[in-house]
Amino acid sequence: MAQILFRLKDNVHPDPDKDRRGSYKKGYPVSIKPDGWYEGNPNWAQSAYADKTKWFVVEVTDATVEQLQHYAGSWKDNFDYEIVEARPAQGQYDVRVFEQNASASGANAITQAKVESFLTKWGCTAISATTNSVAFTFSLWNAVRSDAFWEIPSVVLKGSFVLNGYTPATGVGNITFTVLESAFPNMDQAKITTMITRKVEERGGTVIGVDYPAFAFTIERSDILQRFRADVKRKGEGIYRRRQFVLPTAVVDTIVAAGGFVQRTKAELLAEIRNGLSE
Amino acid sequence: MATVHYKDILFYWGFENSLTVEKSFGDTTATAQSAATFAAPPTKAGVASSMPGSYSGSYPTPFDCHTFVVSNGDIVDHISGRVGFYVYIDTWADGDFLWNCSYNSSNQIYLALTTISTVKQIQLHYRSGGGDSANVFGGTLAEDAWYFIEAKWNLSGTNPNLELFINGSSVGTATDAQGAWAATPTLCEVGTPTDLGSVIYVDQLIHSNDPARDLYAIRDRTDFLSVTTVVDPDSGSGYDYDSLSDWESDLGDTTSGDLPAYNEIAVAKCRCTGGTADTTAVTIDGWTTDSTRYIKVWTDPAEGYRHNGTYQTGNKYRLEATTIADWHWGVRASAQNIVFDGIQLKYTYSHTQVLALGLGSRGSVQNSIVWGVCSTASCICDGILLGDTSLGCGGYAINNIVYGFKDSNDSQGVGINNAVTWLSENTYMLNNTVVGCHVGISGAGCFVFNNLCSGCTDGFLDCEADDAHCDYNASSVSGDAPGTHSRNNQTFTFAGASDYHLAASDAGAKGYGLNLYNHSVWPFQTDIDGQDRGGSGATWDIGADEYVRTVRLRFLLDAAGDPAAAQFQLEYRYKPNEGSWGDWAIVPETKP
Repeated sequence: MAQILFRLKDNVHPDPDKDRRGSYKKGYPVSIKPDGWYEGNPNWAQSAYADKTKWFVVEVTDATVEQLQHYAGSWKDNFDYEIVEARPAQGQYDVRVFEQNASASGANAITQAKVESFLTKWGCTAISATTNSVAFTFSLWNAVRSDAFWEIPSVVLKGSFVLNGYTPATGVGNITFTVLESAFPNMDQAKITTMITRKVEERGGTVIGVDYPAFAFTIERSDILQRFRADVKRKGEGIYRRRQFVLPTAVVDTIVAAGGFVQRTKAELLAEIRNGLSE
Repeated sequence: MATVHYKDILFYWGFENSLTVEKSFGDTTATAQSAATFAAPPTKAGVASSMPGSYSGSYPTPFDCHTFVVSNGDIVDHISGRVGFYVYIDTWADGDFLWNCSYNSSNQIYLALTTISTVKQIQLHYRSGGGDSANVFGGTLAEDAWYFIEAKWNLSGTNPNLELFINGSSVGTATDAQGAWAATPTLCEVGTPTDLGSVIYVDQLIHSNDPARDLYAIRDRTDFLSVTTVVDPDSGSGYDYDSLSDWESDLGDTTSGDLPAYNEIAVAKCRCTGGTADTTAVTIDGWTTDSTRYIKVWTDPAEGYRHNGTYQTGNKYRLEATTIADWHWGVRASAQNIVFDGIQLKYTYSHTQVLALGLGSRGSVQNSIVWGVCSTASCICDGILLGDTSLGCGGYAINNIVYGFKDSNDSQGVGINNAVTWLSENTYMLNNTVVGCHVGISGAGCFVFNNLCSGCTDGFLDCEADDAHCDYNASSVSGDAPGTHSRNNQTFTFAGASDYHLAASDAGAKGYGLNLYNHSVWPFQTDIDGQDRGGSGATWDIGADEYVRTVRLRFLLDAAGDPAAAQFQLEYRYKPNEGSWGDWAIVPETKP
């Protein structure tokens, strides 16, 4: 057996976005506890858990703690991508990003506003949105000149880029970035070299020559696309709702009326609890 | 330090905030009966200067009766409870009420003005069922002065069950023999409905259902700052939550998690009374904070649940989380202004893009140990990430030991990282020890001083090359840490395996740090063990530990107390509170 500690009292944050993302609400599972986690504990009565205005407990008679852990998870973003069209000759992809964890009614659907800043920082163009989908064009040449690639604001003002060559068959571009030293007043040659070299490698490229302050490197289009996707995923994804699952108010009220503690089987709980993705 | 705990306070009401409810706890939010009742309070010249606490100009209208409607079971328990408030009596008239809690006129508790033998006093009256009343008369009061009046009743306790206090001192007791009335109160009144001619000002009304609560001790608003609750995975005596995650879900028992609005600091005091680790990953989100009303998660050094500068099990609080998927974290605080102090965090990871401890803007982690365990290839993980969650930049990592953030093929892993790269000007990494990570410290744009990186593939990554940003660091890697006074290609000698205190024989970090005693942003004086680093004139060590040798001189007598056999014994040990004393020298006393 295992028990689920549920929140009974709403937490409220005045910012609606933070409220949804960060606040526990009535019926949200808080944590999964082993059977008997409080019974017989002489200290429990003075603990915060004894306040029945804040919590209630559902004991699941045929489940282990591990089998219930997923109920205590947040409703998180989970972006995925689709290559709509590849144009190797231009080093471009038409890409569609969409939210896999949008609900049936459209909650947490991806919007242009949600990802536009990340896409723009990577030099993406032709950004447009439909329901739970944002389409854009990703170009290798734009990407290697983007702030997001280098994580340097206004990078095009801090150096010059030259496309030395691009091989459509392999998708490999050869680029030279010549740094404007005065744009990095606190950094010496060694530091700048380290910074540039490391960033190229992080993005999947290879530095093939350094004639300071010029750095020549090669990078393959699918490698940089992969890094782009990881970067947007890391920086763009977040928690949509504090908990993905919730017990409906009517069920909660029934449990509270019964003293704030009930037993359920896994199947019974599954029938009662609501998955946000299904809403 | 005693636990400051206000969960028993039902109600706190200060008039200064436009006469609105300042604070409410418990089941029900108290509301004023009529907003108009409180409108347009006149200012009484000269009173504010004598008002204790944070009074700021608005006053209730004299003669007004400020009434709260209460319902079953809330606000005031007529069986046992306590009320306290400031009162200023401009004009005295016997019989006028200061405060009243009642079911009806036959069942009530009230405080009133009365004069006995020309002495102006307070009357605490308890009446049940319309029968005989019990009264306490006490105090020697005067007009035009502020007093803090408290009444305590405990009809379910021992006799005397009524007591009256003025300015924190008991001035009288009595026993009500009839017992509490049967019905619950329906009305609370502040002021004088009888209006016999008094001019009375009342402020900072506090209700508690704990008759033992010393309201005088917490009467000023600043006393409400810390809402301290206890996290103990062993559910030992005095615990409030058995995991930090549960604590967070309850907003630390604060009023609403909006800490500035309620003038609160939320404090999670972590214990480990039975040896059990806290194993639930934690997300801290949905709070409102500012720089002075913040969130603090810590182990109190005075309680014995804090580590000794090494990762400890036993009765030392520790959070041990394991990844279950990519993009996982051990602790992630999206909320800003959070303080982690004296925490152990062990993070076992086999996924990528994970994070042991992430702090939002202006968060700080200090005196903590963060340990990564990974046996999987190509796992990206940060031990400590400052300025996390795109909330802006800035954060503080001070006096921490961070180790093990390296995947199995030594391709990823950063001990201390900064989320906002290159141009972060508000992130400080001071006196940390980072061991065995792929990258020790990634400090682009940060202020990086007195840090030690040992056994890292790249100790200092992307740190600024100017001394104003990065200096006095030490690394085992050659050509690594920038800064005129930084030391690279060093060999460090630690106290033992997984014990990253500096050994006496260390020649790589001991005595090479910059004194940050008077640092302009984050001045501090101690190391991870709480040991004094030697004051403003001392030469500090690099890293989290300050090597300190303690000596003592003992005068020893034998069992017979024979002075001829007495000795002076000079002994030393490296830490003041642990380890055994070693004989440094034994000097036989020379008889005079």
